[in-house]
Amino acid sequence: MAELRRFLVRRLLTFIPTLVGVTFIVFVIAAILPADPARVWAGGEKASPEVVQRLIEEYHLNDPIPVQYYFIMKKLFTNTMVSPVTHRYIWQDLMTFFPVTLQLTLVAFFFIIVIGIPLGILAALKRDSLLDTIVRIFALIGVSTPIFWLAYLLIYVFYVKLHWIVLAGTPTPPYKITGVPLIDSLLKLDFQTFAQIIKRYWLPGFVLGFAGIGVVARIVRNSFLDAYSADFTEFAMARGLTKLRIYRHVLRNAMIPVVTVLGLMFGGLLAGAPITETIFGLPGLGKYMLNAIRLFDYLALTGSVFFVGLIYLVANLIVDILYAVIDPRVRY
Amino acid sequence: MAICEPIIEVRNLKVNFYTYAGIVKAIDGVSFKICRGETYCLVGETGCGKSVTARALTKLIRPPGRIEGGEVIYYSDEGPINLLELNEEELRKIRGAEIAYVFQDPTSALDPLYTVGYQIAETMYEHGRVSKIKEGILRAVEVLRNVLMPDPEKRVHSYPHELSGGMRQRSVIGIGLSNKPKLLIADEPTTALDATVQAQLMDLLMDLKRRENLTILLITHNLGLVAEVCDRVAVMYAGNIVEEAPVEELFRNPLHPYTKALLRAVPNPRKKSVRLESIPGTVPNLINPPPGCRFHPRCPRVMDICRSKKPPELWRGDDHRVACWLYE
Amino acid sequence: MSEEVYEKKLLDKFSDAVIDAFASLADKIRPGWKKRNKSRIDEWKLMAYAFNRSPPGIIGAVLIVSFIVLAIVGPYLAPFSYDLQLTFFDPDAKRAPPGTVIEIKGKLAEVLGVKPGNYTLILGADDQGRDLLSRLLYGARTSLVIAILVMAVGPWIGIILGLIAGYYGGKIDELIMRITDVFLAFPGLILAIAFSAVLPPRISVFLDNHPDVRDFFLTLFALKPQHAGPLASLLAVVVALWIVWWPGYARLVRGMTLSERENIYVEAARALGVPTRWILLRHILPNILGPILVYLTLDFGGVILTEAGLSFLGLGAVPPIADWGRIIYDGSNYFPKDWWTILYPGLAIFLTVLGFNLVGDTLRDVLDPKTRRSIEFKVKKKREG
Repeated sequence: MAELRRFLVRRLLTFIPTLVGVTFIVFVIAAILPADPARVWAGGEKASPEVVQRLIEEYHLNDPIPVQYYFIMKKLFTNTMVSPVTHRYIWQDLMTFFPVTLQLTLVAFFFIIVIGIPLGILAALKRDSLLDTIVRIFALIGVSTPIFWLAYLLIYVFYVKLHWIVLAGTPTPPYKITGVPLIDSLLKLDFQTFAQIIKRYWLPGFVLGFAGIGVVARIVRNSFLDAYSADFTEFAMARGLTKLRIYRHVLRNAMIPVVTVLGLMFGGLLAGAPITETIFGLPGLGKYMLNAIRLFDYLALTGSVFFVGLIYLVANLIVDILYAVIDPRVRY
Repeated sequence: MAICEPIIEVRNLKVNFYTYAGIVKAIDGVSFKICRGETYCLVGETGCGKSVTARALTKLIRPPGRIEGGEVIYYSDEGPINLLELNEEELRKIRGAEIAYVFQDPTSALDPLYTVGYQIAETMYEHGRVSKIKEGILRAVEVLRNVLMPDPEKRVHSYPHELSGGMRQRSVIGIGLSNKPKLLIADEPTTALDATVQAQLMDLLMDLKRRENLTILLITHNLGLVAEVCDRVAVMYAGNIVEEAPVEELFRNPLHPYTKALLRAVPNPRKKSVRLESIPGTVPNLINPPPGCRFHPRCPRVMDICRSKKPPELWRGDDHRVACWLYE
Repeated sequence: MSEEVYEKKLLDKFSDAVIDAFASLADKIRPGWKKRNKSRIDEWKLMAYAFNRSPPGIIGAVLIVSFIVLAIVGPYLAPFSYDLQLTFFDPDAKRAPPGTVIEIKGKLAEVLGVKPGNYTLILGADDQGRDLLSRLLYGARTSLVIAILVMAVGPWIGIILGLIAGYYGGKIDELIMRITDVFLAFPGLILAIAFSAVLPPRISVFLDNHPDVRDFFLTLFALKPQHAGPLASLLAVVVALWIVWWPGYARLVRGMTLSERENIYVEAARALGVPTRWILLRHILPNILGPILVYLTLDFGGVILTEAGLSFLGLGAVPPIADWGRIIYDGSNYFPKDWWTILYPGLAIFLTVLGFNLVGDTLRDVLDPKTRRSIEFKVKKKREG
């Protein structure tokens, strides 16, 4: 366990330079702002010069680059950045929009794991069979399908024809534990709210996860076969272990690459969410970003990019920790 | 020599590998018998089928390989059983309990994600020697001490990557011996290790054999090792046993041209030999093996009959057999 | 190798001819090339045979070739221009379902240069009365040009940085990989969204100052001169995707270069005093090009998919530019009634991207020596004796 702690410390130390780099990119996005953002924020051509001047001063738009960088980062880190367009605290906004995206991502992740992993194992067990080929083709179709197209096709089937889903509202329970209704309702064992949330989220989640299912199935299959053909599996047979136990060894070894991919995929799902949220009318981070773009609210855009970057970094950190827990070799 | 009380007897074993390039006839009618308490050696070049033979004994052949025929009679305490006729579950109970293996490369034989203690414990647990994995881990300390692992109380909690090559192989041997097997099949157990560690481990194996009343089937390409530890030797070439004899007899009086060539290819410290000889030609392709005797294309004393008919097994004395037309 | 006989199909002869033609061309440019690369040419031919025996690969190749051909000639084949509102001639053209017949006549037709007569709108029309088939054909051009522009630069930034990082190691490696990590710290699409949103004004200024560059891109995208404005948004997507598309390659190539560097031939070249640039481009790059090629193929489809996604979000293609993603976005206002404005462009994206994925997947198999050997054995004729 001592090694694990040392590994964690080292991993956290590399987290810091990356975080600094992330702030630079975020700043670059803010710095390429259109020529005269203050005028746009003040209302375009008819804006009064005083208001424009005040905005320029308030947001340090004419100051030297290092000052601008310091200003933006200070505001972002201290949670005092106010949008010049909506006049709301950006961080607060992000905290209200984020749970929707997280729920969507969790549902998508659920589909990927629950369908992708067993499918991959089956394909490996029935290697070169019809099922294996189907999984392969399914994976190729998954990564080739435009997510927005799939969404409309499925909405047509499940909403227009079958009326199986709800396309409006965002169920929020009256209580708040983590701030994510899906998790809260489970913690409270409030299955009625939970069912409502699922009814609203299952199709968007499936759509979002669709591409990942096949990808994960393929990776599970390949790494399962790699582990199955490894020497230690043969030795496990020679030791006279039961089939079940041998598969446990194989599976645990096969999970190492899978965990990495799943971790990266979680971030990818967060990123893929804007399209899904737009189509299904879910007020999540992606929707927030697109709204910001529409309103020329570039600071809100910058803030959300920073936020997503942070989440992604944390997700990667968690993956690395999981990795170290599964694979003792990584701890060194 | 005492009368042979057999522990395992292989009759006419055949193993094929079905590859995209064709059918590889890896083992083509191999027969031998191992006596209780002896160290029996299979020697031959890489790819001659020694490892496949060893694994086929307990049907450890995975696709695309398949056992095509023959019998493997194991003389257990309850009487003889043909291992090739057993089902998976019955075989499983024998593997690792009655007949245990030590593989060549301990680094890849151990699961990197579990401690050696756990791997020893589960091997005992699966054969009902302990009722809980936890108990197995306690017992594993004894197992590791038995294979002279330094600091076994600590090493039992080590992962394979934390151990040296020699310690890993000790763990593998420990796993093999954890259920007190009757027969230990050691497949090139020291090849992957440093020269100094090799000697230590062979000493350990021989010491354990004496203490635990083991029978050992040793697979190796190292004739020096054969001379040191083996009681009887079988020489394999291209999927056949070409000669079998007690070790002294084989080194003193080799019969098969291949054995002779093989012995000439080994440096002899006692002779001031001028040069080592190599065997001309290459190991045959086993998809289309040479007809007749598989050694005939490389044989210095080849005759017409060798090219068309497979030589029979001929006995020269009670315990020396050779498969060669020269002795017809 | 050369004495072995292979059973050749028509397709194999075709691929042989293509490879031979390429070899002859290379030989002309650098005499002696053919002789020096004899084994490489044979290897390529074998790979082609293996590829020709994979039905998914063939299907993918057919899809890709059709896409490229349509993207090149599509704008000339299209019955109407991408921005022509047929409602000028026939009010029925507004949101016309597939198969609607409209009549074009009158002076306006002359002015706009459309031949009078009856037209069947095979795939229907959108809410502006624009012919969907024409817009899909123009959209193929948009997709192809963007994908080529992105793939011609983005991955290569990563490949070159990866080669440098892997070869030199030490501080340079550390620096490059830290920067790469930072870019990988964002999900690609999010970064692409942000940059596509903030870049257009800057690019617009650039295009205004460089009219010849602007005209070049207008021709490339088959756009009318009056649509130079929307061009800036399209190019913003290209730049955004460059930014997003290089870090993966940097990491991939670095790893491959690291292991390649250990090979004897690199050491020998270094000992002989071969310049580093030469070692990297002439020796290491060709040896790792196989796997890179697989990723380039897969990502070509990936770029098309991402670009369509950005357009669907209202970034990138701005009306009236014909873009598959944008067509779906515009059509989604009338969903589910105007299903054709979603079904057909989506199908176009799907089939195109599928083509690249099928070919990429097959290439991966073909480049894997293990699978290729197995295919070679199947191809090889059984020789007598």
